[in-house]
Amino acid sequence: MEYAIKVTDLCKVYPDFALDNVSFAVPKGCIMGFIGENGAGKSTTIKAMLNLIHRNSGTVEILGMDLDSHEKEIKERIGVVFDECCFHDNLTPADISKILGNIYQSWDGKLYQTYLARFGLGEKKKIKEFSRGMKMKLGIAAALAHKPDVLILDEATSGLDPIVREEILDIFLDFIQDEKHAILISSHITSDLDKIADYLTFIHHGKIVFSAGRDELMDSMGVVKCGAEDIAGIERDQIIRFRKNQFGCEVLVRDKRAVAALHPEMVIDPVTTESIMLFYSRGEEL
Amino acid sequence: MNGLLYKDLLNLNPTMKYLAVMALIFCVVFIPMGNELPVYIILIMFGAMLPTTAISFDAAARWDKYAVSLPLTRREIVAERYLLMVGGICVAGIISLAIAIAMTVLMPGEGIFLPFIDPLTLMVMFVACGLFLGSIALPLTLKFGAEKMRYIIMVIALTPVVVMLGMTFLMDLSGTSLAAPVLMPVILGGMLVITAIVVFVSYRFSVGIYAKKEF
Repeated sequence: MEYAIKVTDLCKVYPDFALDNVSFAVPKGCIMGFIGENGAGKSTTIKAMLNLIHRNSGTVEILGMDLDSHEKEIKERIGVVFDECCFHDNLTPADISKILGNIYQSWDGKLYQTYLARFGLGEKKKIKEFSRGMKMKLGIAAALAHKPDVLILDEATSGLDPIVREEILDIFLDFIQDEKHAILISSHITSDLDKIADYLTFIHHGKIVFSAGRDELMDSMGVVKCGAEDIAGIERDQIIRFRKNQFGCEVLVRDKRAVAALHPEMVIDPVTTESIMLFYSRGEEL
Repeated sequence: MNGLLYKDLLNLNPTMKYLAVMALIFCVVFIPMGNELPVYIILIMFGAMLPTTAISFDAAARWDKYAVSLPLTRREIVAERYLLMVGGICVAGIISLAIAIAMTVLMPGEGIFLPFIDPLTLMVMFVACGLFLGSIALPLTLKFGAEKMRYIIMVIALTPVVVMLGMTFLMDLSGTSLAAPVLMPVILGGMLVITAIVVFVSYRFSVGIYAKKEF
């Protein structure tokens, strides 16, 4: 399998937080959802992948090139959108085109104008007059107009209304039609990832908990609803996490078919990205 | 780097208009009094402060985080700041030179320095002072941020004026003329060499500071 992004043993230590040997890989032609609660390390990982912060150790390869030795080439071929608009308020989208046109070798002013028109953004309107949604769309137009092969999106859809989010997700799905392209999207809006992500990487307290195909996860994992006393009856190696509530217990199991075969009386619900995230973040281990 | 320079010029455009009006007011107030010094100071100070102003705009927009994700090296980002500073101070120097020449033609014998030094030499000295100051201010601004530096820069900006006035005063006392044929090339040459060294060392410091920054 050819990877667009490969992060290996990434470590970054702060006094009160650390990224601990973060490793994952995004195959070409895929969208990877990077999930985790606030403060789990999603943004820190992305910053380390872009050399915005200095890694203590680990390697980052993007499009087969090492970040340290090919930083400029890599950044020429990736598009980045952060959770906030980093353009100055007094500039206009037309100004942004002139600025970025002098920075990216492959900047396509016409393509940028096409995106602006598609997003309904006035070229001559000052950015300070834009809503948050419009600013995010501007960021996405700017990230796409130099025809990148990889998009790295850090909470790019957070704070947007469902209609704008849907519109943006459609653009990401269009982008990924080219099999050479790939997207890494960090988000805690798991419903967005349910719509578009092929792979999910879950980070918790700076450590990668899992990185796997979304369909594979949804197909294998399940949530058993039972009484607290029934947990003991479930095979220990099947239990990932459990949560107690006023009605009994919910158990996230590794292989729902195996559990169903052994315990036909138990009710097993399918999982969602959100439920997996909640179990890992707030559930208990046996 | 052209893109960064273009971005800064766009952002600084309203500020530059405001500064131009300020400089004009200084011209109207001080030149008829035969005291051109505040005009040179304000112009050179404006030039030296341009990168600090640009950095404060960038900080407000959180631009640096985005800039580092673009195909630009951190060295290029720093180099653009220095280019802006040198360009700003040189433009200020050219405007000051035009004012000085106009004064020597229209008001011969008037002025604080003009009766003793020819306008071009004077402006080269002022530009050197501006570059010296800017080179001290820029790494400090990159290290501590524009807000903390703004007031310190105002204080630093007055240093060359005090030095030049002090030098003139001491020379008057000793009976030596600043415009003495032997002394002037030595002073000018010394200033240019020191300024070149300070700009170079400052640039290296700034590159080091910016390389360590995290966004």
